[in-house]
Amino acid sequence: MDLVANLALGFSVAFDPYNLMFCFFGVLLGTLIGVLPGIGPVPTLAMLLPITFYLPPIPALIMLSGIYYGAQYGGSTSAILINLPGESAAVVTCLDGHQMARKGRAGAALAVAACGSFFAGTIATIVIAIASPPLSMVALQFGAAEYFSLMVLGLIGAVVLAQGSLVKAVAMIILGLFFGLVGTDLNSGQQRFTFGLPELSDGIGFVTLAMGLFGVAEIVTNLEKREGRTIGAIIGSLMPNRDEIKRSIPAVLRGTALGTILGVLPGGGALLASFAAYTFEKKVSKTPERFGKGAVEGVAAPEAANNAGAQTSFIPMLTLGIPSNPVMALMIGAMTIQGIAPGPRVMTQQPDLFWGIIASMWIGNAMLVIINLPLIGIWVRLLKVPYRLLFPMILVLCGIGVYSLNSSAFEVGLTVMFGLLGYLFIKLGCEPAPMLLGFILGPLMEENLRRALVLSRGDPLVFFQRPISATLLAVSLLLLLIVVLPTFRKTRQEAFKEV
Amino acid sequence: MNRLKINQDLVAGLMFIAFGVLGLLLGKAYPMGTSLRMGPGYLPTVLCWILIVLGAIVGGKGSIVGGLPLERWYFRPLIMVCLGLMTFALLIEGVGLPAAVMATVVVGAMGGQEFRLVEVLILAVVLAAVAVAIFIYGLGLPMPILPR
Repeated sequence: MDLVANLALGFSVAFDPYNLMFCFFGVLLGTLIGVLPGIGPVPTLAMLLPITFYLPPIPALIMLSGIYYGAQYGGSTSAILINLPGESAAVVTCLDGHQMARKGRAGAALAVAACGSFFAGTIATIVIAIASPPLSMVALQFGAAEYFSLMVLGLIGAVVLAQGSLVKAVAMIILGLFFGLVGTDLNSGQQRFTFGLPELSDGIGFVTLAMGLFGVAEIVTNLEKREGRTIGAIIGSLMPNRDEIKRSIPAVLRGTALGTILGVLPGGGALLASFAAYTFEKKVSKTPERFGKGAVEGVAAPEAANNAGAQTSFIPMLTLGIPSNPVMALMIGAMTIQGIAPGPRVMTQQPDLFWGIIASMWIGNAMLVIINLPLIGIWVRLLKVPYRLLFPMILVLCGIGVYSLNSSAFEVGLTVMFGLLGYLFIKLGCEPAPMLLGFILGPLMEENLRRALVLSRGDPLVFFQRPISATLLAVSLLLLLIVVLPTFRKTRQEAFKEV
Repeated sequence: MNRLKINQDLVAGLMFIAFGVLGLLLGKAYPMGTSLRMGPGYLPTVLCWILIVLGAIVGGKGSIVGGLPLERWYFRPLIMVCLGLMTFALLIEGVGLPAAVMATVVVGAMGGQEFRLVEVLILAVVLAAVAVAIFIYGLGLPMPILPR
């Protein structure tokens, strides 16, 4: 099967009216939560996961992916209009986007953001379609040792590219791995850290953990901030002028390229892509002093990059079954709920699912341009909904979402506990995202580690003797070494300090 | 000698150490096994020790070099939001979805900066109705509507 045949299959699946409806529903919801500050894709996905259980796998996954890239579109709207990032990846869009709005160019900024995102989304879809099959082929050769090493690389990459203290991020991963061990040990049947509670013998549900850390804890931190939303900006003409178009095109191209690459990396995704694209754009600009004062490049590049990054971060998830960021971790969870084992076999065993998701991304992007440009007025009105009406709604959805997973009130209580823990982490400057990755990968890592060691008769050198495994570990080590170098630490800090 | 400065890193380090020690104590009884046949206690023990070492690094650095000062805790939103969700957990099986949703909204809303009673009550009723329509009638989730 070649690329055209694959994509044809994908489009035939994605154009199925039922799937089309869920694609639309996903991007609409994505735009909604993207526009609304205070709720991002991670809690939304966590809330919807239990519900997807009642859907067939294809529409479920199409909808969930739509939420993630849809949020990238919506996030720019509130960033530009009210200087509040609706979604964390839109933080940098505030800088120049809102300045443009204050100069009466809000419409142009919105149009550049949406069209840049659409272009980036199209390219990213093609890249996924081209890059995935060979990657899956390679991954099919992987044994337990390779998988273990790959996960080590994934976790280390996530740390290197994360914000904040490195040691803390590593510690959070270990903590996540530790929480992943709770439950019955598969090899011996021994109950670990269950306190004799039957509810814990299957382990901690990751919806429970994600909802506590990202849902409950975030509501509380949002409530600490004073609400000060003013929509002063008039949207004005949606048409960018000639100068703006001329400046945007190369910025969109650069943003797309950068975002596409950064999305694939472990720890990558929309957030990293948008930060990097803004910094890069400022570096290559002949007039860096215009940035922060309404430079259209400062909107075009990060918006293209975050959409490209959001989409290409699906590559490691779809081909290797390895999540590169918390959203992908939740996607893996969604697949597991549907009884699909994530990994390289998905592409060969369920080509309709695999290519259907990819094709739906392009369709979803096309829908998003329409949802976001002509219908912008609706979203502006929505921005007037105050958070005090919004957060009880989110809280109720958290409760229903967790409860419906196993009809277990105990798990709702557990979510509260993780909410408290999440608040503690935030107050101590510990990012919860690496913990979720560790938590998801923990059981997989343990299984592969044990299997590899059994196959090698307990010789730990097996990880260095098999070439692919050795390479992966060498890259991990290299990454760690680079991080320790003072020059890299400085640039890393600068990249994130930009805002 | 400088007084030990309390800061985010120091407390975070202590937290990691506490988790590690707790894990070691709780996991004491699990058989270790060998690296060839790892017992259920092998990985937890290794992870806990790593956690303790990392905690010592974070905390040590925090107490010597210093770090960001501790942030203020806002207890009202924290407590009310958590209580709101607890209310849901405690009520859902006994009184059914709509009543549980309404109670959750009222309790949770007390965590906000403003509490307007009429507005909250309207929100509670609307959300309860929407929740029943979507989750019970629409998606067919197995949840009781009325008290048993």
